[in-house]
Parts: sequence; structure tokens; C-alpha cells
Amino acid sequence: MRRTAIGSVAGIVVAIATSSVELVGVAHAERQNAWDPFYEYEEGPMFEIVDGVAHEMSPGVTRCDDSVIDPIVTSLRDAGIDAQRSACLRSELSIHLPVSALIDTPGFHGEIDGALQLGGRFVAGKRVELSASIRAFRYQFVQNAVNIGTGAQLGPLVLGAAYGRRWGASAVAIAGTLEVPYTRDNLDTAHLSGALTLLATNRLGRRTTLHSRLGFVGMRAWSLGGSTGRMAFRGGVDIVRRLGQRWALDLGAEIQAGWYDGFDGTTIRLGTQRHFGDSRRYRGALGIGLPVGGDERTNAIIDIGVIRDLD
Amino acid sequence: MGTRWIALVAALVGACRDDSCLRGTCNEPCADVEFTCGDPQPLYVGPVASAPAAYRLARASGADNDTLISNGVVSATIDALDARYDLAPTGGNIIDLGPVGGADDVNLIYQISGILPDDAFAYRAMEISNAPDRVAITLRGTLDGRPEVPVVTHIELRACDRGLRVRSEMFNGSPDPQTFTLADGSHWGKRRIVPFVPKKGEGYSQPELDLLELTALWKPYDLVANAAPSNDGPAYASLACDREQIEGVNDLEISALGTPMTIVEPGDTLVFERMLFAGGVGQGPAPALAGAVEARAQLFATTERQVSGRVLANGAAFGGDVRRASVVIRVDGVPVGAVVPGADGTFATTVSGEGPLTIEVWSFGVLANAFDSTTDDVGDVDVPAPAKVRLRVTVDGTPAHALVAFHPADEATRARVKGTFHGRLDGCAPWLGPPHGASPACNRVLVDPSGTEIEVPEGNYDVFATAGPEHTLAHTTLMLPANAQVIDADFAVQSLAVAPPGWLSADLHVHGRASFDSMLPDDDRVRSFAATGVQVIAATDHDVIGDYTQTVNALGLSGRIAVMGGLEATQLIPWMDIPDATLPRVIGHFNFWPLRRLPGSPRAGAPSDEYLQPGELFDLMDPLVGPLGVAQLNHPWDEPQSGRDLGYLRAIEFDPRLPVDDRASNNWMLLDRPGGPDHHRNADWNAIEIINGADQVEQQKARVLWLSLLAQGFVTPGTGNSDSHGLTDAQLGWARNWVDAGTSVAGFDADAFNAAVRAGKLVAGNGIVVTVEIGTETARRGLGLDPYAVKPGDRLFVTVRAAPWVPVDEVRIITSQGTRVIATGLAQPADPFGTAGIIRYEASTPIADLVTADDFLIVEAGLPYPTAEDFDDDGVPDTSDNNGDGVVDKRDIEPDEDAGPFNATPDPTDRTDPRYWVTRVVPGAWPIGFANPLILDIDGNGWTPPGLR
Repeated sequence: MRRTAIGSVAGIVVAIATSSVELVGVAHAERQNAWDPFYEYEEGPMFEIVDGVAHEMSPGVTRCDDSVIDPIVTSLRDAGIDAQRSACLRSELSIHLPVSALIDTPGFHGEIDGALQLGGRFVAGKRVELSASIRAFRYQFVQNAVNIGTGAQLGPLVLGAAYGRRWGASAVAIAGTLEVPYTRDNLDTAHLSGALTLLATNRLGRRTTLHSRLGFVGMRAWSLGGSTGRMAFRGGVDIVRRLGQRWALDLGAEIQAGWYDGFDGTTIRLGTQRHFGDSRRYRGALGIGLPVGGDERTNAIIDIGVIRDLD
Repeated sequence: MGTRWIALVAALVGACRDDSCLRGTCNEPCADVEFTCGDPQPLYVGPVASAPAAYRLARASGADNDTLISNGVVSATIDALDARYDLAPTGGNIIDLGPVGGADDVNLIYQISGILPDDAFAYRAMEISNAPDRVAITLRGTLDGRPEVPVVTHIELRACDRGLRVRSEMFNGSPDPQTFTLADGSHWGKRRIVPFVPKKGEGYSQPELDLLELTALWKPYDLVANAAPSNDGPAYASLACDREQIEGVNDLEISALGTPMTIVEPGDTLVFERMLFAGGVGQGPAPALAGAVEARAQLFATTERQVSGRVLANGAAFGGDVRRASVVIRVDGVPVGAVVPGADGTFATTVSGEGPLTIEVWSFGVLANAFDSTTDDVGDVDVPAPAKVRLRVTVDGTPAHALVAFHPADEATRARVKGTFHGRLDGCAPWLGPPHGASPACNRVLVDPSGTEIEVPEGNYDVFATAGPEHTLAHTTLMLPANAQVIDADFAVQSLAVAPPGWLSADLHVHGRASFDSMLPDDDRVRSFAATGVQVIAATDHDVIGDYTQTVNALGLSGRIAVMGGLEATQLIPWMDIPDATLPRVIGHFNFWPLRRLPGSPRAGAPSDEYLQPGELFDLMDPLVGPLGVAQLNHPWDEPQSGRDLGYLRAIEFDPRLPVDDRASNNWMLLDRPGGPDHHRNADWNAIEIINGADQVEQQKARVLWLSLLAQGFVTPGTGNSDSHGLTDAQLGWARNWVDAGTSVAGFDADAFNAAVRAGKLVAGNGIVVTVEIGTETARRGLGLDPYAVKPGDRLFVTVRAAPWVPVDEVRIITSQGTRVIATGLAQPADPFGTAGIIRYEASTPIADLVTADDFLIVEAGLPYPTAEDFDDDGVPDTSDNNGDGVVDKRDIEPDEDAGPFNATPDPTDRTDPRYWVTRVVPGAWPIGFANPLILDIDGNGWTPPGLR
């Protein structure tokens, strides 16, 4: 009963994210060797979703067993608080180099923001994942007309937790991140930001995985002169297609609304991940995000990541 | 670890505390600074109209409802919120600041976060606090156009304070990081309030502001001072209290001093506390610097020392005038202080720094003495004594106002007397005084009928006296020894019948001290009217109604000079979007007259003109100038300054080669009626300024535009004006108009005069008067824009007159079909100082030989135009022969530019050059004159505009 309920939540997430398109999932059982170049799944019914209702689920091995199918990261918000992830709980260490650009020619405003983000997440128990990341270095270039500012920063520290379940080739999770106040080197301003996201990861085909997410992201900052806050609704899907054993391509879209007091836009996401190294425990990831069609002011995000799987 | 936790706790407490102005509580700015004085004066904050008279500053611009704050030591005026001024988007800014008993040289001190219009603080609320021990004004608002960035500025004065205590805060509530500064933008205009910065390699030498390089130029300073090189101006200084250095730029026209350029994240607050000092009268930067040094010593435990001495010339005390002596004090090579000695030659000032002293004394623009001193009392300092000259000029035998110009007569003298103000401002030979201020300025002297005594550095000089282009030029050579008794120099000039009898000479574009870019005292402004023989003046100060009538009367010149109050509407806040233009623009400058000055009202009654299209501006001004008032489009293609357009046609990128109704270009904007169908078009000016100043640069550009508009039926008269702001930037009355107004100065009828201007019954020129009539030998008509139905046998009668010292080489006729030279190689009078040869050309030509269809006809005379090219292909010449090789080509273009510059032709040094004599008294002059158009109806069925060729 409980399993069905969680499955239903996952189904709703997927259904909303895909505009209630009827999806039919097929359960698969994985062969004994996940790293086989001819990697395939056993056919078998896993669950069916029709009009957003999960009809059948059964336990089995999941896509989560291969981290290369995780979505790429194209975070729009400060300190990667809204970094995309799958519903899969993982233990890994990561280094990300996110770079974003904002070019507002009519407003004479521009930003280039680059960072070195160090992170780790760890599965604690069967269904819980804990994470922490710190922006070890941030370089900003901000230009207002002829005012040019550059700066290097340290922090903040972002802590996270996720609770997730797997059913066969699918997984669902709820994940949250929270910026720890006063973990930036600018102590004149207190920052608190976070995100709460429902996540689902499902199989769409033999080599295709669907990630969907729905949630909120928000921030608040206080300083001597006042405080300000932002909050946005966010939802997104990614379709990840494996290309052989090591490669995966990611095509996705994510909407946000509210950050700029209206519809922020849709971020078109494109990326790839690849295992490397003999042990295949390392991944390299490249993600590109292009926000379009709304008030979002960031024009482009590029994220380069190197991840070490610890599972 | 412990330190880290303490920092965290401190930060938490800091973030939660409510002692910020933005949150409602303004603590005393610069609380660690305290000044004492023997006799504290009462504090005042309230309306200017109610302020003690003693607390009001000379030359202040505060209106009755503005707020004055004073402690009896310094006074400042904050303009009312709804009475914005100058560059600021709202009121609530400092528009006057000075020492009590002294004067104000400030145009505006306002708060900015950057250079864009929406980077300026826009105040919406003002709170006044009047406590026994302090008076304060708190101003709240947001960045202009950025409601998510709240701002506040708190200005406070306590007894004995030598400057304003100011704290500003801004909070970034926007979703994006911004690079902001929090700075005081001080708009000095062209008042030549020279910055002095105690920093190695700087002092009076400050880099010129290039807005595109603002961040690179943004530098830290311990403190910064400013003072005009004048004998009655105050000193100013800025000192940061909440940080060891103040950062920014110090330009002659605008300075911005505040915090470093800072990335301000959403949620961040930027705070800036400082003191703004004012002090002294004509003592250079020292009085304000001393206050800042004392405050800085209290804040940061820096050192202070008192440096004193005495300047002598020929054994006698020599001071009391920035011309005579101006002292720079260096400590260990660093310029730390600057002071003008008093009349007794003594100086004493407080400076900072430890190390050996060097004293520099500048006299008449040159470094007269420099030495090292081991003691802070440097003792007596000798400088060369100047010669003394008493100048007297008669016109037709009667002592008169006149202008006298000195020129070195030999290279040795030139080398010795060529000077500057400590390397700043324009160089002059001889440097008789700061070029932008009162007489003597640069090498020019206004002479009164009673005679004027001046000091001139030793040397040999050619000296010229002029009373304007309707008079002869007088010349003498003076050998001036040092330390001599007063030498008399008498000049006699004769009046010449250059202008038609009864016509009034008029300069319709004149600035004085009320303008934000002039330092010329009203007395000298009016004396310059008389000295150049101009009879009618339109006082057209920037954004303030000017009127010199009071000064004219005080000088006893009311029978010789008629002044019309007026205004040069000068938009300063860019707002106008032009297709394909990157930056917003302003509409340029328009003159309006006559206007009545309203003392006590903001801008003396001038309405705010920002964010208006020309049509809306005309609508606004109509009831003020009346039905016969004049709206004049000024310098229509002048180059923008500091990102502000000066000429409307350039601002909208009008293309004179295309029809006005062309929708593919911006020309159609002229036809727009922004106020609605029954309101003015943007092209509804009554006159267009064709000559601006003595040279031909603006004329070559403006006439192309004028001719295009005339050909398309936009018939307005052209004028020629000086746009003079002082005694050296452009000489008053060069150019000028001669108006067939049917009125005289005595009993001046402004309506009749302006009606004549609007009707085109005027000629304009730089020393040359071109008169035109049409008809037959027995029945002729003069100028006027009413179409003239040409009859068979009609002829054009042209007369060109000029004083013998003004060259005229050719006569031209311009129609829509082009320019035709009808006479060239005209003879110059043999004696440039004589009275013979005034009529340079007099002839008539059959109209039928000139035009064959409806057209306009303009007659010009003067020197041929120097060659210029239109390299940027906008239909207007943009580049002159800048390398002097005789051709205008790409090699004349400034590096990294596509076109330009269009420079005035340098003054000749060869006495045989036809321009030599006129340029002795009118630098840059390129004599030209024109008569306004005749509108010729050839076919007798009414005038049809000929259209573009």
C-alpha cells in the first residue's frame, strides 16, 4: 500500500512534467553485468501510467545503478542551490565548474560568474542521502554600464538531504538543499537559500531514461539596510539517452516561475556525461543551459563536472 | 577558531541591528570627528526664505522653498524634492555649499551609484531634524527607476563643524548582483573648480575623465579638495569617515567620490560616511583642506603640521590675488597643500605628512620660485615683480568700455610669460589671470571708461584694443620693465558705419555666472557687452532664467544695452531613444526669450525641461515667452559633451539629404507633435543658430541643415551668436546679429525686436555685415521671410561692410541649387587700423540671373570656407584638414575613429595672413557674414518650396 502511494506520487510528477502524456513504462531486470557493452535489460512490465495514475509496479533493479544517466547540472541560482539531480541516491564526490553569463545590452548590465564547487553526497542507510557542497572559489565579473566590478569569494556551504525509493528501474525522491548562513566570506550580509524538490527517474526505453522534478527554490538575504527574498516554482524533465556503455546524452527543459515575479522562462538543457578510467568510477559531465522565453536574465550556463562514484 | 566565532556573532548582530538610516535610525555620521570653536553660532535648518541673512551664501541658487542648513560656519542648500536641479532626477540634493560669509561655487552635489540616469539617487521624502545640538536633513528614496534599490542620505551639522556630515546607504533588493559605487557626484560644469589631491604625482594634476574608462580611473585618495582660481571662491574638500580612503575621479567638470566600485549582491547594503568641507574666500584649497586634515587626524591618527611663510615681490608683500601668488606645498615630493597668500603676502595652512618640505610659488601662471625648507615656517619667498599698466580707451574721443588683448612681441617674452594655472586650464601668453574667470583673464582685459590698472609680467608686448567690429582696431607696442612706475597705455578707436543705421546689434546666446558652466562675474559679463559694442542681449543661462538688467543699471549702461531675460533649456538626463542608437539621448539646447526672472523660485522661474521632446518644450514655454517670444534651435549639430547631446538635429540623426517626412530615417521626428494634434511640432522653433562662436566650424555644419529645411519649406531665420561663457571661451558678440527692428536701446521694445527676428529681418556675422535688398533702383524691399513676388527687371542689391581689420574675400549666393561665388579676391583695406575701406562690395544682379523658379536666396560674404569632408556619410561635414597638408583625407581622422574631428583653423602667426589682425582680439575668428533668406516667388502664384536638389 505504501509502495503504491509513493509510486503514485512518482507517477504524478512524471505526468505533470510531461503534460499528462500517456506513458507506458516497462519493467526491466538488469543482466548480471551492468558494464557490459551490450548492456540490456530483461523485458517485463514494471508499471504503467495512464493519465497520471500508476497502475502497476513491481520491485526490480533500477537505472540508478549506472550514474552516467544522471541529469547534467545547469544551475541558475547562486551557489548551485537549484542544481539538477536524479531521484537516485548516490555516494559520490564531485567537482563542478559552473560558469554563467548574463548580457543585458539594453540595460547596460552584464555578469560572468564562474566557480569551483566541491561536493559530496553519501547514502546513509537505505533511503537517505546526505550531501554537502562548498563553493571553494567564485569569480565574478559584473558590469553596470562603465562600472566594472570583479571579485573573488569563498562560500557558501550548502547542506542537503534526500529521501528516496526505488522500484525496479524507477526511483523517486524528495531532496532538499539549504545554504548555511554566514558561510560566505562577506559577513555583512546573511544569506539563507534552499530548494525542495520532488524527483522521479524512470525508464523510457531500452537506452532512454526520463528524469522529472518539481519543486521550489528560494533565497533570503539580510543586511544592515534591509532584506530581500526570492522564491520560484520549478519543474523540469530530462531525457537521457545512453550511447554505448560510457556515454550518455541529456536533453531537457526546466521551467521556473516567480523568481522575477513572473514567468522566468524555460531553460533548454543539453549535456553529456561519460565514464572514464578503467574502473569507470569517474565521470565527466558537461552541461549547457539556455534560458529562453521569460524574464530570466541569465543567458547561458555551462557546467563542467568531474564526479567520483563511491558506490 | 575563536576569532571566527566572534566574527560570526558580530556579523549576526550587525545584520540584525536597526541603527541604519534605511531602517529608520540615522546615527551621527562621522561620530569620531569633533570640531571646537570659540563662539558657536546658532544652528539653523529650514526654508531658505526664513534663514538668517548672514547664513545665506553669495551666488547661491537656492529658492525660497529649498532647505538651508547651517551652523554659522558652513551653509548648504538642499533643493526641494519637487524642484529638481541640474543632473539630479529629483530634488533633495546639495545645490549650494560654502562658508558662512562667503560664496557658493557648487552647481550640484548628488548621490550616484554609476553614470546611468537610473544610477542616480531619486529622493521621495525629506525629514528635517532640529535638535539643540544638531540639525539634520534625511532624504529617502530609491535609485531613479530602480524601486528595488532603496536609498537614504542623512546630512547633519553640529556646532563648529567645518563641513557637512553625510551618511548614505543603499540596499540592493534587486535579483541581480550589481557593480555600484556610492558616491557624491559633484557637477562643477565649466566653472573650473580645480581639484587638488594630496597624492604623489597629482596635486593639481588630475587625469581627464573618460567615462568609458571610469573604472580604470577610479582611484583611492586620502582626501580631495577643490577650489576655483578666483579671488572670491570658496574651497571644498571631501573626506571619508568610514574608511581610510575615498575613491573616485576628479575631473574639472564632474567629480565622483565615494566607495570603491563594489559588487553588491542581492541583499547587500552599501554605506558611505564622509564629511564635505567648505571654507575660505579666494584662498585656494587650503581652508577646506585644513578641516579635512584635522578630521582625518582624529579618525586615523595621521599627522598634522602647520606650514607658513610670506611672499614678497621686490621686497614688498605680494598676495591677495591668485594671479600674484599661488603656493603649492610638497612633503617628501608629494603635493599636500595649496594656498593663495593673503594681501600681506602671508600664508599658513595645515597639511599632513612627514618629511622634507618643498615650496613652489606660482606667479602669473609660471613657476616663479621653488625651494626646499627644513622648517615649517619657510620664511620669505621672493617672486619677480610685475609691471603695472594703466589702460585707457576712447571711442571717438570719449573714454569708453573696451577690450584690450596683450600678445608677446618677441619669442623671449613669449617663452617667459606663457603660463597656466599650475599646469591646468588653458595656457596663455601672457597669463594675466585664470582664463575662465574675471578680467584680466588669460591675455585679455576689460577696460572701464575710467581706466583700468593691471599687472603684467615684464616683457615686450603688442597690445590691441577693440570696442567691437563696428570700430577701428587700435594697437601699440609696450616694453614693460619690472618694478616700474605705472605705465600708461592709451588707445583711441573710432566708430565705423559698418551696420545700417537704426539696426540693433544683438547677441542672442550669452551665458554668465548663473550658468553651470560659467565663472564670469555678472559685472564683467555686462562690461563685456559694453566693451564689444553689443546693444541687445538675450541672457540665456542654462536652465535658469538670467537677466543682467540690475547689473546693467548699476554700471550705468542702461542707455547702451538692452537685456532680455531668457533661458537655454538644457536637458541633462538622457532619455530619448533613437533607433539603432546604443545610448539614450537628450534633445539638445534651445534658447527662449524674453522671460521674466523670478527670484526665489526654483531656477529663477525656469520650468524643468527634462524628458521633453522639443514640441512639448515649445508648448511649455509658449505662455512664458508670449506670442512674440522666440524659441531658437541652438548649435544644431554640435558634438555631444559627456554623453549629452547639444544639438537636436544631431541627436535625432537628421539626414539633410532626405525629405523631412522620410520614414526610413529619423527625419520624420521633426513633424511629430508629441503634445497632441493641436500642439507644436518638434520643428516649430522660430530661429535656428547658424553661426555659433567666432570660427566657422558650427556654421559649416548648421548651414547644411538649414538649407535642407529651407528647401523643404521649413522657413525660419538663421542667427549668429557667441555662446560666450567667459572672456576667453568665445568672445561676446562674435558672432552677432544686426536686426532691423525699428526700435532703439533707449525705450527698447522687445516685442518689436523679437517680431523682427521671427520675420527674418536680420543679418548675422563675425565682423561682416551683409545687407540685401530686392527690387529696382527706385523700389526695393529689404529682408523678411514673407515671399516676394519677383517682377521682371528686379535685381538683387548686395552691400558688404566690415571694419578694415576684418578680412572679406568673396561673396556667395546660395539657393536650393547650390552655392555660387559672385565675387572673389576682394581688396583688403591697406591700413588695418584705419577707417577707410569699410564697404567691401556693393553691386546688384538681376534676379533672373540667379533663380529661375521659386526658391530661397541667401547672400554670404567672408573668407572661403576651409575644406571639410563628410567621412561618416551623414550629410554633414565632420573632418577638417587636421594635419595641415592642404587636403582633407583619411589621414586627418583621429586614431580609432571613423570621422573627425572638425577643428577650427589655427590662428595665424604671419602678419600678412588676412586673419592676423582680427585674431589678435578674437581668437579663432573666421570672418563670415550672411543675410537671412529672401523667399522668391518667381511664378507669381505663391511660393512653392523648391525641394531637395
